Amino acid sequence: MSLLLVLPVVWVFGYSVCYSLGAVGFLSQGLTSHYWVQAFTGQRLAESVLYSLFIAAVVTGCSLCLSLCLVCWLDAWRKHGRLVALLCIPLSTPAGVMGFLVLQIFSRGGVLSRVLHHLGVCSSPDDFPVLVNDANSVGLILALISGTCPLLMLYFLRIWQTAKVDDYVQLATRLGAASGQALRLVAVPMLLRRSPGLLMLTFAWNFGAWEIPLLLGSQSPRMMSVLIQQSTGQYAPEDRPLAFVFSTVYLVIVGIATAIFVSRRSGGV
Amino acid sequence: MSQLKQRVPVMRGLLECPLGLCLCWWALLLCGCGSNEDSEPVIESSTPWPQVTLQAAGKVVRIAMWDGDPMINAYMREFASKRLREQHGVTLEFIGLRGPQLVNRLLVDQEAKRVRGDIDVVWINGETFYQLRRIRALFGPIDKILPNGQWIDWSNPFISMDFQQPVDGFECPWGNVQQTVIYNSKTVSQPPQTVEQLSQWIKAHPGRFTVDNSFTGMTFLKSLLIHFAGGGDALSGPFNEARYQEASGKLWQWLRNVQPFLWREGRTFPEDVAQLHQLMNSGEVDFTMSNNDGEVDNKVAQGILPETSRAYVPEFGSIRNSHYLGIPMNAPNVAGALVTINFLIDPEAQLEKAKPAVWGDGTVLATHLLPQEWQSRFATINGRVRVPERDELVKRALAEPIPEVMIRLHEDFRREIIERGQ
Repeated sequence: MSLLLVLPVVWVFGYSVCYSLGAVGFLSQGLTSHYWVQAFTGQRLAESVLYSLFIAAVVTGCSLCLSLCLVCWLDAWRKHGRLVALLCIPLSTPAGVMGFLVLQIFSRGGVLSRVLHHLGVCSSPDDFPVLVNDANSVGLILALISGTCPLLMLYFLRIWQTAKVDDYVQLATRLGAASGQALRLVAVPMLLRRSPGLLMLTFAWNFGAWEIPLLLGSQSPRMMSVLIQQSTGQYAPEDRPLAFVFSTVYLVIVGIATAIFVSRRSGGV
Repeated sequence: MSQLKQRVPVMRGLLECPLGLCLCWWALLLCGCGSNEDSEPVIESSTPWPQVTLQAAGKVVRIAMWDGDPMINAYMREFASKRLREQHGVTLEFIGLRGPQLVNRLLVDQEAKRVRGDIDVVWINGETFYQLRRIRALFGPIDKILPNGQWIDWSNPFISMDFQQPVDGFECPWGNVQQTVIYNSKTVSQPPQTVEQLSQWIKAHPGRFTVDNSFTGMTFLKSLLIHFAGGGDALSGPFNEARYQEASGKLWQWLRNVQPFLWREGRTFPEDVAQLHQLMNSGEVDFTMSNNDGEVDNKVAQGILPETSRAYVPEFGSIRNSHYLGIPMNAPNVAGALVTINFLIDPEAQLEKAKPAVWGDGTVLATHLLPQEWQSRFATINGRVRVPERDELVKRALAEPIPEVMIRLHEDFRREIIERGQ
């Protein structure tokens, strides 16, 4: 069964490597390392990998902190089941729609800048800071967090119930811990111990995000998925092997992350 | 999902068992390897037209086209689709694809040796035509088969040549347009006419001008490139590396000079022209552009551009070209595709398409060849109010350079301007 599971991935990986080396492809002119040399001597690939890792790490980190705070310190989430239904709204919103909403709200000509302008906070919409397609990727990170945070919150709320975290917190307070201490030293470690799998998946998900980075990300560097898609869909099909070099590198990174996760797996999802 | 799993035991089994998921994957893969046999009679240039229409009747024709404009979509879905069904019994189905995606799709078909694909008609322009011809993915020649081809002046260079390549009957012209620059007359009283005036205007109005990072923006840059190459036909003919290097060097120098004064200080550019339209409508910039000279009126009618929008062609000129329809080599329904293309170049369909309230796309028919009745109908199309007449614009028309120019320009724009601007 393992073979059946692994074979499609190996197939895709093998095809990607072969295409990148010119071994296959309608326009192939024979084996060549030209595209690998081109990819590794240029800055585009390295910048894109680092940028994607940075965005995935920031989004996962921020979402983790925010969701832990909201679940642990705002007990309304745990007491009122209907509130949890609210979390399903961003989760069920397509990524493209979420990206478009952020664009409409946070761009210079968007809703927020106009409201602030009418309130007299800024003298013209042009004074509003650049938050989309910006070098710091503020809009991109916000949009990705708005999808990731609810997912982590739902997971933590579920763990809170199934692992009876409430009982342990109450026990800690009865033994003399302050409420904040009990949450920080008992609840948070319990939730974190059960979440490395989901965090790894969240990281990989954001590393490979496409629609939102396409709409809101910076144009240089670009996220890996956008770089691959644009390289595949560019005007010169003879440069397609370059896109397969990028794809191979992407698969290797995700493969390494998966291998680390599998080798260290001790619970979680 | 859990409800679905409870109600459908098979689904539950598949979703919970990795082996089930794997089997699904393999099943899908094997289903994709279906038979490639084609039982349709072969269409040739000598096939009589009645036989073609007979063969097409009752069939489904799948057309791959850019579907980003609601007016174009409405024309195709509400007018063309309906008439084709009524007149020829052909049902149109639409696939949203842009040029490079289409090339990729047909290239993958070629690599998989799919002799029976799933697209019958493709809407293409010069770059796509160039790539599709390179991978031998187009069926043809088709120009001699189409009865409505008689109304087309095949000797017109804006029709017979597509991006400096002879069409050779491997695509059929569908519309003829010229790029215009659109400005907000409320904020721009005297639009710049020369490259020098444009540079001065940009510097005097920081953040109010930009170009998109896609097809329309690159077409505008091609006009500037031709200007820096010497204007007119300076870039005509085969690709000339030295001439390109010299002209593009001047272009990048000019762009870097104005870059700090562009929208967002030239650090980022709108991804496509739709975003540029949106920027103009929200008041962030004063200029946008369009590859269709009739678009300004219909974009205002849709509320996408402000009422005060006006379109013009600067003195340094703008690219004029045709867009075409083609048939992939592995089209499953060639007869249906031919009937569809013939209908789309029919005077009735071309007239409807040329109305600014419908699409505003220039006709490819040589109206002087049409019967008198149709000539007068074309002469009385109205609704063009925010852009000069086509006869005026054509005086500043530039021919498309060879596709290598576009390919190089796109790549070099990223390297020389976007990446340096970060």
